[in-house]
Amino acid sequence: MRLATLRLAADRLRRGVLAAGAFVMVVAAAAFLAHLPPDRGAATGNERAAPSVADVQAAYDRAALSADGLHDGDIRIVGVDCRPGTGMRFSCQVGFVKSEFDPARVFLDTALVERTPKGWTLARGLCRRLI
Amino acid sequence: MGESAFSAASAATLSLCAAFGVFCATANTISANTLAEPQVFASENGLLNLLIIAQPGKVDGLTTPGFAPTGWFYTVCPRPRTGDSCPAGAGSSHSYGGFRLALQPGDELKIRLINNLPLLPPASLEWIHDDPLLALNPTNLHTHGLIVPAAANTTPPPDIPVYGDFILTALFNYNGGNPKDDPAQYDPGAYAQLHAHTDVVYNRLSAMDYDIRLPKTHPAGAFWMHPHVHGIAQNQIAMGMAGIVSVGKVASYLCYDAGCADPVPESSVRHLILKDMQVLAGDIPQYQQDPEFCSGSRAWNGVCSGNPENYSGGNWFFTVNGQQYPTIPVSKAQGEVWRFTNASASASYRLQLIDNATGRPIAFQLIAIDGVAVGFPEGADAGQTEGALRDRFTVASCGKWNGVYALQPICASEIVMMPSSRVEAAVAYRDPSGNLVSPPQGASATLRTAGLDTGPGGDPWPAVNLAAVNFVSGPAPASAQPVHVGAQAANAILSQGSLINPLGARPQPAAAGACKPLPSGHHRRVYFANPNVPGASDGPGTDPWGNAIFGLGFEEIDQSGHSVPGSFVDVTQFDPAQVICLPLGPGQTPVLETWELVNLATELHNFHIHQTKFSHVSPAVAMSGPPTFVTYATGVLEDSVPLPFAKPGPGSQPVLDPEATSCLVSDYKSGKCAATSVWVQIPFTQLGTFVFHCHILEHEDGGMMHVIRVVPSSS
Repeated sequence: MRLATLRLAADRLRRGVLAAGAFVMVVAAAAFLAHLPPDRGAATGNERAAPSVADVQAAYDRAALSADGLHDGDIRIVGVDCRPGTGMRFSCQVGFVKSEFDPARVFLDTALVERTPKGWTLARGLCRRLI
Repeated sequence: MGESAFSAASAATLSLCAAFGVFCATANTISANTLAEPQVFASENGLLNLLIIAQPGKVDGLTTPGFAPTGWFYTVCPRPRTGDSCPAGAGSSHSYGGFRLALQPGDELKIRLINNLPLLPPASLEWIHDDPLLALNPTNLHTHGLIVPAAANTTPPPDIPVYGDFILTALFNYNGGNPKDDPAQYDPGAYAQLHAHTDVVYNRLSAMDYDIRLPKTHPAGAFWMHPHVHGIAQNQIAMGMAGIVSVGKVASYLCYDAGCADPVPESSVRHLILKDMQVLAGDIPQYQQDPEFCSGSRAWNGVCSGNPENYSGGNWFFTVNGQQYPTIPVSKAQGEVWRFTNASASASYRLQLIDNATGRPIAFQLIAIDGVAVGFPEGADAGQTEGALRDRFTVASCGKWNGVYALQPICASEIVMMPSSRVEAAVAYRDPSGNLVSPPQGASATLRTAGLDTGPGGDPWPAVNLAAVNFVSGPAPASAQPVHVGAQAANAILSQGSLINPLGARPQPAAAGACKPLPSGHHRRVYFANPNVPGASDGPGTDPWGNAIFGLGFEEIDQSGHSVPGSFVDVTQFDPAQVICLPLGPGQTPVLETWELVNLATELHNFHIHQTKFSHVSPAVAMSGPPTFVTYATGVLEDSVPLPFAKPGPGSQPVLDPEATSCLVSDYKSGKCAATSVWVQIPFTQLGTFVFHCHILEHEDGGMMHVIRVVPSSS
């Protein structure tokens, strides 16, 4: 084996060790985060945690109660996928079902939900759905 | 070809082109610009699994110097095992001209669609006031003409949603901005208009999936696919977003002999995708098309120049498979089968094949319309054929033929193709009487659109040469006979009593509310017109921003021809909250309805319905009782049809106000406006929520669309 090849092999080995080390650290961090208590909207020091299905459902239910005629009362949220937006806002892909339709039909909308001192509020989206 | 013969032919060509009022620079030359077939993606073992990415790309098939604009079209490849990008090079398609998906009946079509489209200047969009999210350039897919379920999504986030042929959804580019995140750059007040809307799909992959299963009995023929987001469909198709779909093999319905011992091979089929793009000076494509782009200007090969007043330096291109004025060599002695698809957003074509030597049209033999072979019994009278073919074809002689034909050969000297229509035609050299003859040395023709004016209130679609056609001379074709249309033709499908039986329909509890079958003997009347709305800024039928708006009205008519009390809904723009709902028949059987289509506008409209096809029916049959498949025009099954424009009389809105381009329903009912109804019978077999609309996409985007829902029956 030539010297250059040996150096290349050593370099690959070193990179592999570093990558393995980094992987272990990421896994450990993920395991640590997974054991954190779920965020329920209050400012607990983990303000950037994304809202859960229950958080968005609660925000929606409060908005629907405001009775502006734009929100139906029978939306049951079945899935969310959120990313941080500006400030305390998250933009979310939201999936929901409606009682008047086949329960297998999952409607999709986007919503802006915002963490406030009173909990999660619906800033925009998830309005009346008729199709 | 010798030089002298070439020169003589060229001289004849140029003189004929001059006679048509167009300039032909290269007709009858053997060109390097030979028409190429769209790239094919074929199913294997019953599955076609693709990645389709909507993204910008260079339109590189234009031969006019200085023009290679950036359009939007699809990159297509077999779905990679990992990742959501297509490898460059062979195996991927990235062409403005389009692609072809080759499916077989019974296949499963799976697509991952990615939206990589750019944001748009809001001011460039006509319908931005109705939906500010259009500036984010959302998209989706519709498999036009396929008789498949309109299945909605059943997958919750964070997984990628999965749809059937369902268009009431909009996929956003994740990197283009959150649809609800930054309303400041649009009109925040307009969000109030969006509280009833379609699915909004927004995920990190900018992706949605499609899973579409074709029934094993699906007709074989030509179909296509395109985006269908309301308000921006025209823009996206005008920028190039369309491909075609073929189902089955041509041999399943077309043969050279009566017994079909000699079926037409796939190698004889040529696919022609007609697209158009308006490009402003500076090579900038125009998102919002203007039918008068070329008014008063000259046209030549594959292009007309922008009118000096508004579009100086611009060009309007008309391409075949993305190529400007390609050459088509017809080298097979028995000719070829050409499958035309009008994949333009709004433009209509009046196709002719002009013999360059005589200046007379060479007849096409009509094979199929909208993906179903035509089937008129031999001896069908002219009233039967022309009744079914009116407004779409100018019927011509097929010449003399020998032998027995189970179905009568039909020929046409002109083919009118409104947006979305597909026509299959046998093309071979014919003499002026329509007889198939050996082409003379150097025989050539020009495929052209002769221009189409869609009515007093309509659009002047220009006359443009589309392609040069060269016939290879030689001995007379062995058969010298029209081809035989065989099994699977429209008459056979109709005689079976249904198109396709519903798939997967299971009884469900009695549908609530308005989801009731149409009573026996009743039919639906649908009005096509320009609605009048408060605040119209440019006369009747316009919106507060001066845009022409379009709509539909409805009425249920009983067996005596009377309007059912409470059923009338005046003409309004598209509202996704308004739904026609009907259940399948007992035992989940198809439901056949009769519709009377009444165009009150002074321009043509182009009715199209998803998930099914329809046949024409005579008013007498339609009014005599419950609908049956006993139609007066059994020869064709269509999914789009032109609707003749109305003739306003004294006292009607267009006569009282010259700016108005449609009558009112009250004008029609009081006899002040004459309209020719088109009667159709529609079998509903596929479950789901889908739409019908005018397929002139300026009109669809402007509101001429309605939702229909088919649900299982309760028994």
